[in-house]
Amino acid sequence: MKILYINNDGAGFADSLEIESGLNVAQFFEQQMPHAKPSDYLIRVNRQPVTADMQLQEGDRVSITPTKIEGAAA
Amino acid sequence: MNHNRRLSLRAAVRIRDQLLRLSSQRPHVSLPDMRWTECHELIRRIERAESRGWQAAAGRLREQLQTALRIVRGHVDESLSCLDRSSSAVPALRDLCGDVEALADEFASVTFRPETLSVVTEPIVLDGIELGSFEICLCLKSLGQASPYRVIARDPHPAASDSSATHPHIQSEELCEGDGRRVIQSALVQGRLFDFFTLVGRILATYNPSSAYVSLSDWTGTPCVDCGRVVDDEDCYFCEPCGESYCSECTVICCGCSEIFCSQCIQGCDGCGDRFCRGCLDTCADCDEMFCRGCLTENETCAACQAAADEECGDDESDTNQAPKQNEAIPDRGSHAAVQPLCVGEAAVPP
Repeated sequence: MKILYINNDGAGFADSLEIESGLNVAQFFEQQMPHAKPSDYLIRVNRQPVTADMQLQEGDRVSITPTKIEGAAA
Repeated sequence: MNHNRRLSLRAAVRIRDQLLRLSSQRPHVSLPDMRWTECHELIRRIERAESRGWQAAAGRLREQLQTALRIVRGHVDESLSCLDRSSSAVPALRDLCGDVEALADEFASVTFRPETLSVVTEPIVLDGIELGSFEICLCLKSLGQASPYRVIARDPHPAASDSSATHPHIQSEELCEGDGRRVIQSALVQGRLFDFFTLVGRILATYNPSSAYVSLSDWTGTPCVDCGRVVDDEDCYFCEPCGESYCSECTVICCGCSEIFCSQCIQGCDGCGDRFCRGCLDTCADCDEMFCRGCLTENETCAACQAAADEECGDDESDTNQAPKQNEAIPDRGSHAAVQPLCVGEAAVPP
């Protein structure tokens, strides 16, 4: 099934992604960000906070945004 | 359709119109040729300064090079954004509407005005310092420009040394995005407004101590008027004559009254050199220089003037013993001759 995946880490990107049916949020995060901790990110499905075991559906909009993004002084 | 949904739809329509207008414009891409030439020149001057051992000059030139390169980077980023925008599809109205509606769940409040879309964050606390809540105000007419939004402190708690720094990474309502710069630009170019506001919110909630306009350790306190250092209230001293506050290193204790003064309100005695406040100094009645009370005589003259006066008095006494002959000219004692009550005799009459 196809979802929209938005990764707001680093330079950020947004693209459609083909994933296997039945995948839940935790499993999807593990696949996409294998070296990262879920607690370091805001994970939203269709712009809403979700539980780790929520199953993804066709057409879902999944965004992953770091909780800590460091600003600077110009 | 409820009120919020109507507002979200109006906002989404306005935003989509603006994004469509931007995407229809031919991208204006230019390269920062002049700035690049300036960078080359700065590098040449740095190398020359280093070869001559002028390290301080080289350091200043490196700072100028940093600034110039940041400007070049900004120019290149803007050109890239132009190109990205021209190749990005404008989001569907449904997606824009969904973004605006979802903001209400993520932020304390959302406001749509004809030209702006704003959200207000929850109060921000960093390292125990309360900074208050912030309004992230996106100017729709400025979409496509380098900085189309401002971050306004709703309940400002600015740094003690800089009232325009309402947050360690904000100055004059402009957020320095740091690590978030590229991803914020990407979100704006692609019209992902929910992501844009969320990203800015995360930067506001994160403190980067290695690059702040004002460090949180210096956020509160009183800035010394002299050196600018922000000090705790216990280390802050008030100079009564000028009414300003100074740190302990910029204050001096008067040798007369032992009160504390700034370096401008205290001066050295022209006699002993010790430092006194103006209240503990007096002027010599003769030479008008400033002396402490210990360096003035009973006649309110300094030692040098007293000695000079004593010498004249002595001269006058010897003159009295040799009275001038008739028709003999009386020597000119100068216009400073004074009648010395202790010297019995005559004194020269000034011309």
